Amino acid sequence: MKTQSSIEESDHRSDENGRRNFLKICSVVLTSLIGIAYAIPLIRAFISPAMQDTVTGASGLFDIGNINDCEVNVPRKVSIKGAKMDAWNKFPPTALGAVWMVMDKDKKFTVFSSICPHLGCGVDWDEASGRFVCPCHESYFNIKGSVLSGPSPRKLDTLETEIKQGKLFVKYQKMKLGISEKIPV
Amino acid sequence: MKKWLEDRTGIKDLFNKLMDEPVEGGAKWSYVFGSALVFVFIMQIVSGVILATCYSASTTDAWGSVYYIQHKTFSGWFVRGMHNVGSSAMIVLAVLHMAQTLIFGAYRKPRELNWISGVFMLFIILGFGLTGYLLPWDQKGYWATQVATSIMGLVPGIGEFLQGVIQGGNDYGNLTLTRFYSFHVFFLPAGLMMFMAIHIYLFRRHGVTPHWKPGELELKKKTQPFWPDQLFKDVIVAVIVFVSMVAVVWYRGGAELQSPADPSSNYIARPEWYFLFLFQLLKYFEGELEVVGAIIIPSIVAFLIIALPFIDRARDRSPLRRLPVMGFSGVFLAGLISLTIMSSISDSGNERIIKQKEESEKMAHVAVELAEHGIPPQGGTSVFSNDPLYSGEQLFRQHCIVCHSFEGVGGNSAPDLTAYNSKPWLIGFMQDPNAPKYYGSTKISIMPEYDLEKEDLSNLVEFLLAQADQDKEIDPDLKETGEMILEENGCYNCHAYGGNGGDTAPVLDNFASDKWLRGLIEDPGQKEYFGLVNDMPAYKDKLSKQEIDNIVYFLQSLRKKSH
Repeated sequence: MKTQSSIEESDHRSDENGRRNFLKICSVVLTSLIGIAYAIPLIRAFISPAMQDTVTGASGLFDIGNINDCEVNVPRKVSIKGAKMDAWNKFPPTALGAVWMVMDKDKKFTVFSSICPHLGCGVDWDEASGRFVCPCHESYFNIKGSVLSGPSPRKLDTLETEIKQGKLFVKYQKMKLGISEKIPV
Repeated sequence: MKKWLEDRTGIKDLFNKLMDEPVEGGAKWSYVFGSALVFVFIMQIVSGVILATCYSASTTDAWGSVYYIQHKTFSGWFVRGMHNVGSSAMIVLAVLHMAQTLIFGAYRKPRELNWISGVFMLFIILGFGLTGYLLPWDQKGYWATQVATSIMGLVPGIGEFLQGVIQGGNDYGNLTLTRFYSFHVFFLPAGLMMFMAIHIYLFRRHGVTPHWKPGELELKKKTQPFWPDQLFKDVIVAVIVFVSMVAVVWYRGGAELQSPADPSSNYIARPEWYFLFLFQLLKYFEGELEVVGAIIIPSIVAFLIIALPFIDRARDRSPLRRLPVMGFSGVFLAGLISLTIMSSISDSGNERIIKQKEESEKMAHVAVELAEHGIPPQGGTSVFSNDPLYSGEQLFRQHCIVCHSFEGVGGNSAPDLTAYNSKPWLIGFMQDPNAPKYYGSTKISIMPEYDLEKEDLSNLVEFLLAQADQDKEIDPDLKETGEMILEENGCYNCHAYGGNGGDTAPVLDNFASDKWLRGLIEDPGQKEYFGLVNDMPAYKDKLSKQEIDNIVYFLQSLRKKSH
């Protein structure tokens, strides 16, 4: 009698264990399925700005002024103004950045982005020493944009220009920082 | 590896402790609601965090950012839809959870604090609903939430102060949004998690409240572990809840986004469905009694719900032995449901409300279309005023068609402006300037009918239409022909063109151009326009320059369309 009942009990127990294992597997699988089903749209929404142009308008040709206003070898700072789309907002023309325009004695124009290629501070022209200087980490550049000293990994970024009807236009774009090559962002 | 981790963290031990809770009497479907609530709450946290990566809590940006989530991000509409429907799911599950607790008598000694912490959580959930409703800063949220904060202002004594604290000052603005956002994502979640911890701790301490019939011995015998027996049932319910939520979101196309909050509109404020009973209750208390329906009755009810474990003195847990509690709860629930139904019936039977709802749907649609071009920094509503076509038409319909008729509507005391200054309009005008459609019902009757040759008429109209294009030089041949026709027909007697002619009729230089129309609307009584015979009011002091420009834009767009 006694053995009979204990056999039954252990049968019953292994049945129970089998059932519980099945429930465990089902629970884990179903929970994972919900998790995956929910994670997909959430992740898509989260990464969507990385796959879209969220800030636009800061490209194209910008009018930076009359070529006759320039003096030979005196860099002139001009701010770039444009209407900007920023995610949901459309802003009326505002400053997007600045450039330095330089005219050499052959009346050839070079336009530098005012952003230091090192870490993105605004480069200034030092009248006294005749050099461009970055106020943050003391990178120095000559009037042709080449590095004289300091941590900048490359020369000042030149931007494409175009002269139309006596006006200088520049294709304003931002470059990747901190690397030795000039690559647009 | 497993052992290494276990030695250091004891994670398996912790898991076993948490999961091996004995469920007396065995796993039951009636116990699932608590964990279903936890499940939905976790989903709300996750979707909320994702929404927060794109949301901007300011009156100028909130609508735009929600528009961006809804229409510009991948799956954003779905995430927002799930978050929105999740709030309804929380309410439904919370009510079911409470109903189960009531029927099983699970609020009774020693579980009074389980009940009370649960009731607090219900209030917090309602707080989530209320604060979340405002965040998109659309018409719906703006107006419905005004009602709620105004009610806070009715609280005797501290009302005004309380309202100022909640809404952040004397009126709705940036601080209302920053506060509501902070409440929604910091205060309320923190509160809910705190009470949830207390609630679950107390639940673990006292265990489940099994069915009232079986004896203690039988319950002990049937005891099953929480994991996996009960949890499996919970997971099944989670799947059902999740699938239903997805289905609702899919069916409704996500959550609604009304047009941007416009403080000057007369939008019909309606709260989310789970607040409709309170909304309906307000209708029965007029004037001074307002505070009774808005605050006193809800407070008494809230107090009674909290005090339930101390009110119920029945000796047995069986619902049949607790008839007063069961009865009152039933009546209360029936009351809630009937108030809700009455509210929706009274809205669906009201034609004015139905019409206004349709109108606002249309506005919402237009707002989204206009936002496509970017929202000006002045904020959501500026999509309307900054769109010359939309705002021009609104202004035109508001100010001009009182006298002018337009596409079959409006007054009849001034010329019909349907296709104004288009070719057919001008041809008709030349043939009979004093017809009712033209100047027939005005003081102006001096212009004679001209029976021109077909070719001359067509040339004259072409010549006039060419004036409308300010920027383009007029074709010299056309100019010559036109001047000749003017000369031959004696137009110069009254009209001036190119510096010649009379001054008793409108100048024809730049006729129907933007500039000409702008000047006319600004002050039609000037000599260059209708002078002494003018009847039309001057708008230069009534409308802004921008607004007049928009009307001109609208008129010109119609003219161009009819070509």
